[in-house]
Amino acid sequence: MRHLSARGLGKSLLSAAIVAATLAISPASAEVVLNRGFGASPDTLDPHINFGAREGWIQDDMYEGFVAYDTKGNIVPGAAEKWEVSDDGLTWTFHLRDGLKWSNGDPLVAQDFVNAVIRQLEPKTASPRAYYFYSTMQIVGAADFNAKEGGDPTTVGVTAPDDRTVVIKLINPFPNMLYLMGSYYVPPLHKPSFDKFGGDFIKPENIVNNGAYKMSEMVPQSHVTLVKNENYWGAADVKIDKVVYVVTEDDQTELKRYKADELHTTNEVPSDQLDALKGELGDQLRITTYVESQYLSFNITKAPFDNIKVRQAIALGIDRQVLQDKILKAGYQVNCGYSPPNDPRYPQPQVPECSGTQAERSEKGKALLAEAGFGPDNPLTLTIDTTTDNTAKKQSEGIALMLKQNLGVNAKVNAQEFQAWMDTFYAGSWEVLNDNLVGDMPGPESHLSYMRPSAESGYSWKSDEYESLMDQAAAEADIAKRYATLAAAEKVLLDYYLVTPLNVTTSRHLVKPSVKGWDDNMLDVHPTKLITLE
Amino acid sequence: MFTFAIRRILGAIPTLFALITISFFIMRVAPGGPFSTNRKLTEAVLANLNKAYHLDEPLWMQFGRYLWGLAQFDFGPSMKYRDYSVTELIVQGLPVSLEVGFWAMLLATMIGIALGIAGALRRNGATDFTAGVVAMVGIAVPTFVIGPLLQTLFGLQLGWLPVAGWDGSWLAKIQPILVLALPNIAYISRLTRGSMIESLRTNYVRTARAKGIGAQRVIWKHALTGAMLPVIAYLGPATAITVTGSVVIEQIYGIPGIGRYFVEGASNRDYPLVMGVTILYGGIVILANIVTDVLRGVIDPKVSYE
Amino acid sequence: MSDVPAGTIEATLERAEQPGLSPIRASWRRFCRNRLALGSLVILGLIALLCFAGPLFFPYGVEDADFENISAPVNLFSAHPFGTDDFGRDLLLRVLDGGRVSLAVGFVGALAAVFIGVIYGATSGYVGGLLDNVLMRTVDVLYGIPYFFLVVLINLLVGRTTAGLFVSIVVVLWLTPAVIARGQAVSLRHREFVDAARAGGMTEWQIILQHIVPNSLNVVIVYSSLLVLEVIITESFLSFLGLGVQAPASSWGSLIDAGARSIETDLRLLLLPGGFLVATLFCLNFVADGLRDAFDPNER
Repeated sequence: MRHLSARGLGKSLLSAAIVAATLAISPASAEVVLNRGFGASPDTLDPHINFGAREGWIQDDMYEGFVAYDTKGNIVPGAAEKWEVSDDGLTWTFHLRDGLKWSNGDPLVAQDFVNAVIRQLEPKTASPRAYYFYSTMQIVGAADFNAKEGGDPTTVGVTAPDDRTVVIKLINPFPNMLYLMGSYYVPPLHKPSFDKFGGDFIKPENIVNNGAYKMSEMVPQSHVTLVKNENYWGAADVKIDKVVYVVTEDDQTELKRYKADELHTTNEVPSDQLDALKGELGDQLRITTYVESQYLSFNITKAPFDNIKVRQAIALGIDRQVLQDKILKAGYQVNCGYSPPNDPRYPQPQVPECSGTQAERSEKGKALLAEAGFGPDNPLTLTIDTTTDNTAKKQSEGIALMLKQNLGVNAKVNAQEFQAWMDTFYAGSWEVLNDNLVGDMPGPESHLSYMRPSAESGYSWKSDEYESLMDQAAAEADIAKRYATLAAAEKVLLDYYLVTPLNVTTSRHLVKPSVKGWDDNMLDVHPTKLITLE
Repeated sequence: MFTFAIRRILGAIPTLFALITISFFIMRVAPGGPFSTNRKLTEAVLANLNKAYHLDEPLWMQFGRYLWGLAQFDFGPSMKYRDYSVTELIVQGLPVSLEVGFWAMLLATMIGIALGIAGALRRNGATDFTAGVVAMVGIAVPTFVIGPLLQTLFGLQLGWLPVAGWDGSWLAKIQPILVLALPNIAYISRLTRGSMIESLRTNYVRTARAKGIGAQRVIWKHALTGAMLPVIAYLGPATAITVTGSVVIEQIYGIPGIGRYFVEGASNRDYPLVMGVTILYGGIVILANIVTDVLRGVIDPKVSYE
Repeated sequence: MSDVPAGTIEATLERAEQPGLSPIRASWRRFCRNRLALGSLVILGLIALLCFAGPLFFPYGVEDADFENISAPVNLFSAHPFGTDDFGRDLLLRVLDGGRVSLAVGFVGALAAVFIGVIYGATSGYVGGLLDNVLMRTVDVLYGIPYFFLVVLINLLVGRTTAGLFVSIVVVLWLTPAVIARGQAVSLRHREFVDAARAGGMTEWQIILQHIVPNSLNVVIVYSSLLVLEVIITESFLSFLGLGVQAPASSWGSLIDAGARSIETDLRLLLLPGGFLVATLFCLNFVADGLRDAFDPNER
């Protein structure tokens, strides 16, 4: 899940729907409605194109993959009742439940899942998620099929030998496979409606889906309303009749709306008010370490950032502890590696910028800048590109001030909305990026595989050493050896100073006491079907 | 008068065309690609997309294509809201924006005129002073400061009105309409006050008074008619202010109108969307100016249509 | 908000029909008799002085963050009299520095717009004929375009720098001064002193610059005071919409925007820049009123 598109991404103040009154009192007879603050308006809800974490919540309610999450973020059976993996770890077989149906009553068959993978790989879909299937997990034939148009879908190693069985064949073993078998990755495709409506197949009037909810209304900049899908196999256990994802672009307004009982849960909590809110709202405030790391990336194609000394100096100019504890105050932890250190089995390499005092680091940084030809007479100037997300913006401004103070670097901050920021990134006109990545599972793997040059993530970085270490790790089924090799790869990345690590983020929500079944978890997943209202 | 209206409408065509042309070419040279994706696009995919959106054609052909689309009310695809076309977004957002704008204009005109007259009749009295303060606040305090303050006051502290949102209930509409009306209340009340004072001094009002026509009647019939002209002339610019203000109000109160699309489009480089809203809003302002001109003629026989 | 009430402009225009015989000095004397206007002008001058000269007396620069003193409270006798912001930067210094940007964009922007407009309008009105027709049709067409949208479009084009902000505002705002100046020029075109100048061998350009332009100024001065107000407000709107100046540079608009976010936690962040902005706008408003009265002998 690249770049957590914009949690509370926001300039602007807030957005949308629902009266306070409807929420405060809901008589026993009436339908049960849950109002969830959503943040900025969704970019796209096309399940095979969407690349945003928040849009993933809606997708999770509307679609079900082979597996699903429980309230703690653990993997449980979803559309598949069981599965097995071959001894060499290369063949996965998923067995679907009996009698599965689409929301319109059509039977849901194994081929629908195969079609989903094929659609995401087809070049004409231009889906940002194709790399999951040829790079993160390496499905037989996927890379070739994705590379050019007009390929034969039967050459891809995803097949349906019968209506209730899907077989996936891999080139290399992938122990974390199940993490990528949920609704976010393999939402089945209802081919008849897609063939009929094309891109409009996700409009409320056309949509056919297989999750616990179906869409009843979608108003951009206002809300997305989902209602219970009676054709879902587990419909009997679903307690919330209707869930409204309310667009709340600004976290301050979202907070006000939460306090005014217009929302049951929020997407975000303003980080500069955490202390005050802890006292005021107590355990309604939920702060959990998230699978996201933040870091600065350097544009190595642009002088002087092609000079490793400049990159290293900037890394030395940041006082990470002060940044987290005094400026951001969002509960983030300083991170000294690229991936979030959330699997104790992983021996994460640490950058040297994390040790010593800031005075020592500044000294060293200035020396490096001098070697690169920059000094008081010829100060380095640079621009940090960031999204308008309040915390990201604050972090960038803090870093700019630190670079000025510690190294005499003149740093400007260019804050843009998410899409414009991405544009700047791919156009290659940026210098330093306030960057982030959200993992798909605990452990370093989704982060490290994203940075593979062959995944074309846009950093123009070439490293045969990194590639070959990642290949070695991919072929390794033993977790200890796999992790050791991954750690070696991460060290290559860090030693190159393509990025300099900053922190591991938190997910921050406010949750009304009446909401049950919302447990804090590292993946920040909270499926509506498991929530009840008291 | 009819021919005058026709002439004004014909005269507006070059303006609209200039607006379309300027926005089209500005958008084409502005930085940022038309295809915003979360992943780098390969050359082949990019070429395909360019072809699909006719971006491989010469600029004049693209412009012609755009005009042809406009003639059929097709504003092209939205790049930010990828599930929608710009036309779909406008169809969804325009009624909302018009509703807020209409009520704000009505409220501003009524309150503004009332405050202005009260002030003119009792110059330097308490009402005049209050109206003056309201006007100053309306002009000098930005709406993006007043909005959040009212949200905190009415939404949180008092709990009378929803903080934000747009659900069709009239309660949710009060705050945005009020805040949107405020700057125009300020301008209109000052304008009314000024022209009313002048009007009271004019010869025909003095004559009427001298003839012994009741003071009330003089005020309402003669003075007011004279005082209304500048106010009516102001309705054109007032529309422009309301349109601009709606961009901010929709942002603060999370109203799914087209002003919001304009801001989102501009900050996300969704150029077809920005162009669509600009042309639409431009059309509204141009239309308001024509109506104002014609209306002035209806009320004031002295205005010549030549 | 943005547009200046049309009535004001028209009233000014009508009054402008009397030739610029009343010397500027007489108007100035009348202006000085208006205590409110004069007082406002003095306050305005003080604010400008504070913003431009004030930062020179601080022992540190505006970008020098004091990480040990983040969000320090108001303490008039400390190093940071009005406290620090959430990065540890001196709040007063930030507001003064932001004022430099706002005032500079406001005054220089208005001046540039008036300059372009007056030259354009005076030329058009003086030369007349086909040129006048073409130039004024162009203005008419541009007038029809809602001004705020054009500012945003140009802003997207030239980028988000202070200079870009300035350009986008000026490009749009020269229209009204142009119309005013043209009106003046048309009425002056056939007057004796112009004829005399022509007979004396002055070129058309010399006449425009030495006779037409100066004689249009009194009207334009009244209008420009309103224009400054408009430019400052527009800048703050753009900042609110995220299209204004870039951090760490600041303007009153961007500071107020940031302050409005912390209404519930730290009201200082809103009140200090907001106070300066509102005071400036109030003063500008009174000054504009005073100028209008001063240049219009019929008023009193």
